[in-house]
Amino acid sequence: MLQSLLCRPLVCAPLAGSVVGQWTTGLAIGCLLELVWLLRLPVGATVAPDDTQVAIAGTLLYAGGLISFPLPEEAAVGFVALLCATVAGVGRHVEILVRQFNVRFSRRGLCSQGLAPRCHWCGAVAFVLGAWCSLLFCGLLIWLASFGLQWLLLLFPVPTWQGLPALLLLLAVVGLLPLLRIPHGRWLFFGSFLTTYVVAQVF
Amino acid sequence: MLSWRDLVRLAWRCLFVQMSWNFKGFQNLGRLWVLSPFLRRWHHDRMDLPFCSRYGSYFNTNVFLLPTVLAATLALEEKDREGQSVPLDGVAFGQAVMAPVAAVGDALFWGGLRPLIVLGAVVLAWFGYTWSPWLALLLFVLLTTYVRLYGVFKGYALGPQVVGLIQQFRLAGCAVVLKQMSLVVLGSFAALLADALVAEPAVALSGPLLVGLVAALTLAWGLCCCRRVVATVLLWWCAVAVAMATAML
Repeated sequence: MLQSLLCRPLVCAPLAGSVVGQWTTGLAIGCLLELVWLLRLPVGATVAPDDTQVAIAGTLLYAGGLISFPLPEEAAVGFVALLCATVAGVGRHVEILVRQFNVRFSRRGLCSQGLAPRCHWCGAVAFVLGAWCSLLFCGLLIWLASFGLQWLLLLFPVPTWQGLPALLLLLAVVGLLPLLRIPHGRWLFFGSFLTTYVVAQVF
Repeated sequence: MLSWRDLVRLAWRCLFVQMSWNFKGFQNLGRLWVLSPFLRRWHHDRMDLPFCSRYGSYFNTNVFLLPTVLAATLALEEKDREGQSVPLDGVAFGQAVMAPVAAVGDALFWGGLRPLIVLGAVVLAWFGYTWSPWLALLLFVLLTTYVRLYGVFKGYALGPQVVGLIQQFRLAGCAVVLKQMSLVVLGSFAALLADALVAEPAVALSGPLLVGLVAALTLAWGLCCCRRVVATVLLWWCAVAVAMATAML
């Protein structure tokens, strides 16, 4: 609905974080998740991973203190984003189910002119219910998976490197490199990379 | 004759066209819902089942250019109602233009404009401007609202000739330019991130960590060369590489 950027992780994660007074934590999670799916286009019948619900669920769980990792804040945020990115693939199946269910409303709505508006709004209700189901389901999965991750972090030495978010962002940026296929893409990317890097080193 | 209030109302209703999106007719019920108040005004004697079925046939196009298409459809319906000769009826016009408009619109808005705005917001957030999501939201909403309103007025005024107007704007070329701008931002951002990694005082980029990072980036590059690259896999691989490298230090 509305087709704005409200449903993007960059926006909805900080908003969810602000509910528990943690805008910047939500922003950090949102930035990481946003880059992961930046090139997933909602085109035709394709259903992208449910980035909205996982971003909200992950931010609420972490900022609300329901999940935690024995790590510095920056690294913990990176692992929350990793969990969210993994679970999002499951959430898309809920949306697929809703879209299949809406076929019934479409059929009924076309039977009579009077039924069309009612069936159209029923479709909206189905999407809202689906979003709530996806939010709860993804939240539960992230919560359960966090225990497994905590166990793994206890088994292996805890990485205390503060640069993890930067590295994760860099890798997420690498994931966007299919953009290079556009005309002059390689020249533009590497040109700006080298220029900025040299300027950053000099100044 | 539709007033400007009607056209604004049409643009407003187009915001909700996706609410009943389904795998069989895609935006079919949404289109019928958007158009029904206007069609009922002209065709109150024909709003029967076949008429609904015609407008309820398969339909799917870009949501930002949808008001333009539907306004042109209404212009055709109006002329038909007034007895003027029309080259094709509203439904046929929609069927003819929905795919090209979708291709151009999706490439421009979802593939070009959104990544550029969002990348800019992420870079601003990296520099500590925590209000950047609001800026991204505002920019995107303003631009798309302008396109919707401009499109709905032009679509109604020009009718099917609005397709020529869309061609004049060379939207596909604009999409490529926006993607190129995104790449420039992306390259600069990657350089800033790399600079931050090298400057990180907690650990030196040497020994096992360097090997791990080079391996991770090489694998990432290889995976990106494949079309079915999964960004999540890259992120997990990176996290594991970092954890292993840190453990080896």
